[in-house]
Amino acid sequence: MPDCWARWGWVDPPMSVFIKAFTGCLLVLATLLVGPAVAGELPSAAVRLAWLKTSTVDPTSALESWVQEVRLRTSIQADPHTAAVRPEDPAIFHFPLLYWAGDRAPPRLSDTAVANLRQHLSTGGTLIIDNVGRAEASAAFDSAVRRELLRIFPQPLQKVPPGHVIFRSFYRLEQALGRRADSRDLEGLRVGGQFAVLYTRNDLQGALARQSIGGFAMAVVPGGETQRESAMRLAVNLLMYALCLDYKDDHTHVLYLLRHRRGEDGP
Amino acid sequence: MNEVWHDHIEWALSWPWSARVAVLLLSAAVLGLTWLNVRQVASLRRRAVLLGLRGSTVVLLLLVLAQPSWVSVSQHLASARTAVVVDRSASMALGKADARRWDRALQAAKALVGDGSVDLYSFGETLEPAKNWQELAKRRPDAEGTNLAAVLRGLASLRRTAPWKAVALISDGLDNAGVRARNPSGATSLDADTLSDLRQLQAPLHAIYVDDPEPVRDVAVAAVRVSSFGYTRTYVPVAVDLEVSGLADVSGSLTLQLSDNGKTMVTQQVPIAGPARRTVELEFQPLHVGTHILEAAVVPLPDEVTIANNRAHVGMRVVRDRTRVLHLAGHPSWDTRFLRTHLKGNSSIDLVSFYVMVGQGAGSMVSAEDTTLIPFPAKEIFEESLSGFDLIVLQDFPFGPFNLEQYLPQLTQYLQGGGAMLVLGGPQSFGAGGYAGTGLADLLPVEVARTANDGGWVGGAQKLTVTPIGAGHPASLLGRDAQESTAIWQKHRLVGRNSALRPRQGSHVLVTDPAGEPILAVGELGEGRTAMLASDSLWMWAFGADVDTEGDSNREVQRSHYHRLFEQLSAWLLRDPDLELLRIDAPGEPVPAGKPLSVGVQLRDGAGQPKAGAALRYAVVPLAELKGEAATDHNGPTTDPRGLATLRLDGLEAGAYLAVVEAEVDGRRQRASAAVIVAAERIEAAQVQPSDRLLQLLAKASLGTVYAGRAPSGGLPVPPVDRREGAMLADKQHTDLWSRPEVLLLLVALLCGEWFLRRRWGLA
Repeated sequence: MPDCWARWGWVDPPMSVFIKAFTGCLLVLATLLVGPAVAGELPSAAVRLAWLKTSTVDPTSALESWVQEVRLRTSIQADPHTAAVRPEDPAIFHFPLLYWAGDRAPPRLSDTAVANLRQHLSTGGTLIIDNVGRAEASAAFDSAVRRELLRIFPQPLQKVPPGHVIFRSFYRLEQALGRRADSRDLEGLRVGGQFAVLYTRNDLQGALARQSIGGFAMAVVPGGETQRESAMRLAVNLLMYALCLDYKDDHTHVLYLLRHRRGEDGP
Repeated sequence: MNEVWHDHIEWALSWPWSARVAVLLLSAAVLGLTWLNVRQVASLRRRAVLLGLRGSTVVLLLLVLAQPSWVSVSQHLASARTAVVVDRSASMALGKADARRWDRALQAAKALVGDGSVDLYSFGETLEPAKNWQELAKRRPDAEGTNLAAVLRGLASLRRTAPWKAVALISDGLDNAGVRARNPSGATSLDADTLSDLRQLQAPLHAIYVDDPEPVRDVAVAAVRVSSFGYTRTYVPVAVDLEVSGLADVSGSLTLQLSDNGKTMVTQQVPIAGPARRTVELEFQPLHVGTHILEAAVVPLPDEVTIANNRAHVGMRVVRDRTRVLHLAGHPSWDTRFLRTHLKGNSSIDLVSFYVMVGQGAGSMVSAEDTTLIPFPAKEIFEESLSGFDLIVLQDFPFGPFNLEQYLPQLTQYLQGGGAMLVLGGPQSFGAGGYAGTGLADLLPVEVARTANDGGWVGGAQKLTVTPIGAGHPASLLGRDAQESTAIWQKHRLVGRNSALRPRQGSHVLVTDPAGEPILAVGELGEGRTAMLASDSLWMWAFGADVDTEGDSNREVQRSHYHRLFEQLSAWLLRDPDLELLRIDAPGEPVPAGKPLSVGVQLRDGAGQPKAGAALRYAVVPLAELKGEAATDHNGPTTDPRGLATLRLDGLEAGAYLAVVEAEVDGRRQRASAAVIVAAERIEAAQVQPSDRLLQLLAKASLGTVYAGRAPSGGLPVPPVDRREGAMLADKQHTDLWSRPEVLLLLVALLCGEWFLRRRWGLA
């Protein structure tokens, strides 16, 4: 909001809410008009989520909800627009964070896509993979993802240790839940000391997706809304990890948190 | 005196055997040829005469070549004598008016003169003979040095004409020309050089130690001890040795100050009461790499006998072991992520980061119990720890929420004192972040306008233009030279920039948008440096997100430019010596006044090649008088083809100075400075407290004795081996026989005679 509006008292708090909502509508409209990212254009400097277009699953609603929660809870200036890119498209280099969801086996990635993703993930990119099988994790998607990841990096997925900084990059988390709770763990691939690939089998997208009228699109089982909150926190932590890496492992933070747990005064 | 003569001939022929044989063979050949030549002469007498003349010539030549000389040797028995040597250095003038050390030394010398076999000398830096005690007494104790080694060597050389029965050295023991330095406190025996000098005397050295009946009032900084090198921003222990005397009746404390390149770093009160010799432990934090000259000084007390010894200097080299970076980010972003990766990837960087993680409206959705958030320790960082960092990075950091205003004095002091700050832009910084009109804006290399129609932030792709200064500036040099660097910058773009920024006077804008709006600028603030980059999209370079053509190699090149830019920026901000085009090399130790003092200068162009023929300007300013930037008011030499030059700074008085040199490279002024310390010329005046330590060592090594204050009433003891009255001394006199004119005339006569007879007898 321009400073001059507030300084001259032209906008009172309810009015500012209205303006924000109006601005949001304009932005949504602009997104619809502009459409997904196009290769060759410069990316936005802001944090913008992009999803890999390899199947019929469209996670736009979930990603927008994800962005909304992140903007609400953290200082991350996430772009409300999301983008869809094909893995072989050089435009993936406009988006350091990629999201790949599926409920069935995706088609085999082209060699160009594999090379692109390898380069992307080797130089600081992050890929979050979400198994969005309806009743349970899709075995077909699971095996296809593992196969394609082995083409990108010749190493199997490994379990993210419970004490890893991902579980405290913002929220303190004990487990990695989504719409489902098939597994309490995350799996990942380390590249250059950091997890460049993170894989959840619990349909994170399903917990975040909203209906067009605003309510959540799907029920969360078995934990209900508590589990949904946990899933949202995981989503926040994943994005925070992509942006801050091991920031919360810094000595200053660890020292303070240990003191805080023991009831001592912090800095 | 009995005298014995002995004469003989000495031959000086020192040729090798091969040369001697060759000469003899040549002589024989000449005689043989002569014989063949004169065989045609019928008369036997004539043949004999001619052969005799030629033979005589050859023999005479051989004698000349052998260089014979007549040596007359006379041996005589010389009387052994006692050398009485009195110290007349300036320190001997100390003491009360009626009982100066000099006066007491004269009395001791007078007591030894009695038996008539005494040679009198005084000494300072050299040995000075005196005909008698009256002449010695007229001398003044004003020599500007004490050189015991010169005394020993001088006496040893005099021994050739008269052996010494004994040597009496009357002194306060304050050598300042090498013996003291070679035999530091704690030494139990003399060093080899001094022992060698002492043995040349072949006589015992007795010392009469002249101290003060009542200690003189003085405080001396005897030494400053520090490691020869240290690390930036790491505390360095400094030991200051103090010598206090004559202050038993004075209470209170001494004010001890430690200065680094003329700037007072530590002030400490030291109680006067205590041991006469004591060591005070201090520590200081060097801020810059390079030569640091430390000065420990005690504020003079009233009635001190001298204040020349109230300060001492020592030099040390400071290097950077690790770079400590404080990274403050207004919010997590891709820009923070890739900068963190860059910084963490450098093993020589210690990174401390604080990111603002929560937005203003997070409310109950973010509780301390559920999150790992910690409070931003602004007070601890800005009030306690700031000086421990080499570089502060503010990344899209808003001014308001964290009360930066209250910490601006500390931040300003940090920068003025040599710190470095890099401000990276974004929608929350500069004008958009509320910097306008604040003290923070005053620290930046750009001015931040208070209002802007665009809110201080302009979106969209930004093409980049390098300014003439920026083309070759080390902070923005992305290529091997200015031309390549300019081309690289023009290939890259940024998304979004901070607007309403104006160049600040004295700063340099290195990169702009096509309209001339600053994108990258650098400036200096006091001894510190600042830089700003008005965008938050540099991460796209790190990720290879913006390349003209597709391909991994282009992305890799773009990534390398990202890392190169931050390396160059950091190096410039941290005054990396390798990045400075103009470098000067001043002596790392204090230079005594009156001695030649030179400062080396090295100049390179923007491409790192030696810059030849560049005119230098310089100034030498006393550090105590330095206010602001010193103007270079002297024309210096020009650089040679190697880019080198030497500044002669002779004639400076004792004190600490800042030598400032300037040169112009590619239209840009280069400036470098270094501290220079000129030590007091009169070292003698700095040593006040008498000490018998050296005298004890000298006497012990020569089987002598040290007497306190006066000569022994029974005269100096002489060891049994030297009880004889004298020694046989030989005198040689050489007379050269071969170089006399008679020899030359005889040679000419022989040759002319032979020639005349040959002509007369019809021979060729």
